[in-house]
Amino acid sequence: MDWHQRLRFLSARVAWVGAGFGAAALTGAAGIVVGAVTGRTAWGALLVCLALLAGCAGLAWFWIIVPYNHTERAIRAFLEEYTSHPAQEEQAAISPGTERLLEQARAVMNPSQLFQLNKRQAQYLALQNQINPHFLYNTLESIRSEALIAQLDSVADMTEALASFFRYTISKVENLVSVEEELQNCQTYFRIQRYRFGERLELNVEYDPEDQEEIFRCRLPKLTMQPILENSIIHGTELKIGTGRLTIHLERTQRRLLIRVSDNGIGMDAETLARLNSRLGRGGLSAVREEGETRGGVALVNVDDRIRLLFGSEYGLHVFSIPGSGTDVEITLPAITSDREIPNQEALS
Amino acid sequence: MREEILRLERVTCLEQGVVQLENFNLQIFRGEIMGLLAVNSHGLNTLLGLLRRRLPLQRGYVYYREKQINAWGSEIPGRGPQRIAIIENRSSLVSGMTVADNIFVLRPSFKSWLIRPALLRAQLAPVLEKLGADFSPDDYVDKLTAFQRFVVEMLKAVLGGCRLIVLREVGTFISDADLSRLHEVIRRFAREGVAFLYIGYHFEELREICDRTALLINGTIPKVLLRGEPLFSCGEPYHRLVQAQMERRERPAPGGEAVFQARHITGGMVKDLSFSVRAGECVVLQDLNNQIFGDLLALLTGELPLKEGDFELCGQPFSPAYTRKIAILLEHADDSMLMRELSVLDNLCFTLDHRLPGVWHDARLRRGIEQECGGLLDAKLFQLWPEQLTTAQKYDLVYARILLQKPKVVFCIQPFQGADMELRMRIWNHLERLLGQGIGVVILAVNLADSLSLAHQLVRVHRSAPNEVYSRKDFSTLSSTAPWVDFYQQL
Repeated sequence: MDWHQRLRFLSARVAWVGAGFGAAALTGAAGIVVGAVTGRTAWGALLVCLALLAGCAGLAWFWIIVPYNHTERAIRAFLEEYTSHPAQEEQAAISPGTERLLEQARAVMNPSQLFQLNKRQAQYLALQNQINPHFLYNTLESIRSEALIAQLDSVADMTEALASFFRYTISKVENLVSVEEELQNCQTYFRIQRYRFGERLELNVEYDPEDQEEIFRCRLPKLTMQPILENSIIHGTELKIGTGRLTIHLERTQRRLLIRVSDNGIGMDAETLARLNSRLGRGGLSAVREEGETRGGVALVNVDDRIRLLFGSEYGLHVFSIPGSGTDVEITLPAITSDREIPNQEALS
Repeated sequence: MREEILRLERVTCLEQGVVQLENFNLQIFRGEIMGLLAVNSHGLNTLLGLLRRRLPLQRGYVYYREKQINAWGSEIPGRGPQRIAIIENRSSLVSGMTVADNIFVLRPSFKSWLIRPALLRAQLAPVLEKLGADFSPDDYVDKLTAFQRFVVEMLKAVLGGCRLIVLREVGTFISDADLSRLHEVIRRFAREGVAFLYIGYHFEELREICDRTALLINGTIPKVLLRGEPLFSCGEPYHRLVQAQMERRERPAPGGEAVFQARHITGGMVKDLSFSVRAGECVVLQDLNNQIFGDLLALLTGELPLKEGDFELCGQPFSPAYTRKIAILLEHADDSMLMRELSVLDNLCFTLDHRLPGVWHDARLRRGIEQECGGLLDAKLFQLWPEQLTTAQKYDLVYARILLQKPKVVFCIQPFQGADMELRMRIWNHLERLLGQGIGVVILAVNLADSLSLAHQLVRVHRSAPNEVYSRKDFSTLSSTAPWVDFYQQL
């Protein structure tokens, strides 16, 4: 960064104006010393000193105080949650670091992205309002009864699975659930999909039987595994010829819970994989960007964002895949058995 | 509950502005033998650097035994070196000292003021016995074979408290039989809870020993293969090349007179060695103890006197001396066979004086060679110096020089050593081209690896037993760790 660019920052301007005041003081002092030695007033030095003082005062006002006030207003506007404020556009940054911070803040408060987020929330609420859970369960139960009377066991079973799936997805409002509950939901979802794919789809859940109790007690965000399982079916095995094998592998270490959801589907090329992995772990508003909507992988990014917001950036998702060899999605979570162990408690409320 | 020994989480690491590792994820558990198949070597040195010391990360985290030891954008309080041992071709043992001294005395936790050899010997002997080691605690490390050195280094690491041992390309330096023994030792340590990262370039070798195998491609791990899972698309080009090569090789071996013959030669470590090679034929000499190569070349060039036996070149008796009719390619040819002070063109013409005596005086002649070599080398390379070439380009230059030299026979020492999968394919094509030009190729190798699929004949050299000679149809009877042995069985 050259000196011209550096002058955009208030910190650099303060240094320059300070140097100007210093030079004025030195000139004044030199004039006084010369006057005392020679016995004559050093008018020249005094005039230069006064000119420097006036110049520096002017610079301090227009170059430092006024831009600083603008910055202050911008920060106040940001704190008052104004998404767009003229002051946010025109302020000078205090230093390179604060400039980056303000840019980040501006990106977070970007109205178009917030709008996307709000739109999605509104759609979700509208959907939730349309579905009266009790009405839905009662209807599904009626269908099940009719099916049983008509001896249509498969329809009855399917209806029951669908009711269980909705009950878990819509009704349970807790943020964290146990691994056991999440696995049950995955099994229910798989049962429903099995009616569509038949014998073409297999699901295996693997874990060390000795660790079963400890693994099942662990807590994780609701709907962590099911969207990934759904992704594996839709993007992995649906397009594959032959049997699609899905595996959920659970592993527990002292501090971590490791879940691997694998499929033996078509896999993905190196470029797609690199793009997907770079989107995971990026955090912020990546899930609501247009890129996310058009190119798939929304579910993965969404699950990854939720995990990172709750537990920190060292946890989340990572995808492994090569064409023709299937895809593995590895989920890393902290091994917690109580909601009180979550570092970011506020995110739950 | 499994114990996690090493975890690299979304690591992105740059060196001199070049991304070496990108979104790199790897985890190794206690007692696990994790393979790392380097499809290409990009990022491999950075990975080992990360395990040795705390390199600055662009992104990601590194954990050792579930404790964070490195993270992006943060200062981790200074810690001593991690207890991770890295074993590679270069020995980390101190020469001039015994096995026991290397293992115990040089250990950081060795606090004793007096060294009591008898005590050290008594402590080490049962451990060595348990491992089935064929050396004693009092042996000097300089006298150990490659296999024995690997065992000592592993033992030193384990007794020094290392929970993770990285083995880099060990299969290249030891014979198949020793490799099987080494695998046994590794499995024994793994059962005791030591984790291994086994880095290799051959899936067949890794498949034998590793619980899981991660593929390393361009500084990232796109896939981790579980035991029994096949190698998919990334290994296919190489396998296709090998298979096509093998089908071509099924044609009968070139006939005619031998261009080079060694009859019962003895001298230095070489004892009663006989072999012959015809034009366009490839013979692999496998030294199961990795001891004769230096002496064999010295016998060939006359640096070491022949005690018994004789050589024959093109049907005439050959007195050992340097000659342009015999070319020698040393290990790591990209480094050992190029003169850095000479330009690319001068390097290319270096062994042409027997065919074009005026090559060093006539600049026009050299420019003519430059133009004529368009098919062999990229024209842009002539503007560069050897140091500016990539590894692959250096190999191209070395093999182009051999082609121009047109020797009757080429002796290649471990031509594939240190090369990743992509480079192996390139070297393979170069050797194939030499054979196609009617040049006899003698490959001197410890581990058969890729060499075998090029070979028409294999000579196994033993220290105390008669040498074994295998023709191509007998290759299927070799050990199952030999790469592509399935192909031979199918053919």
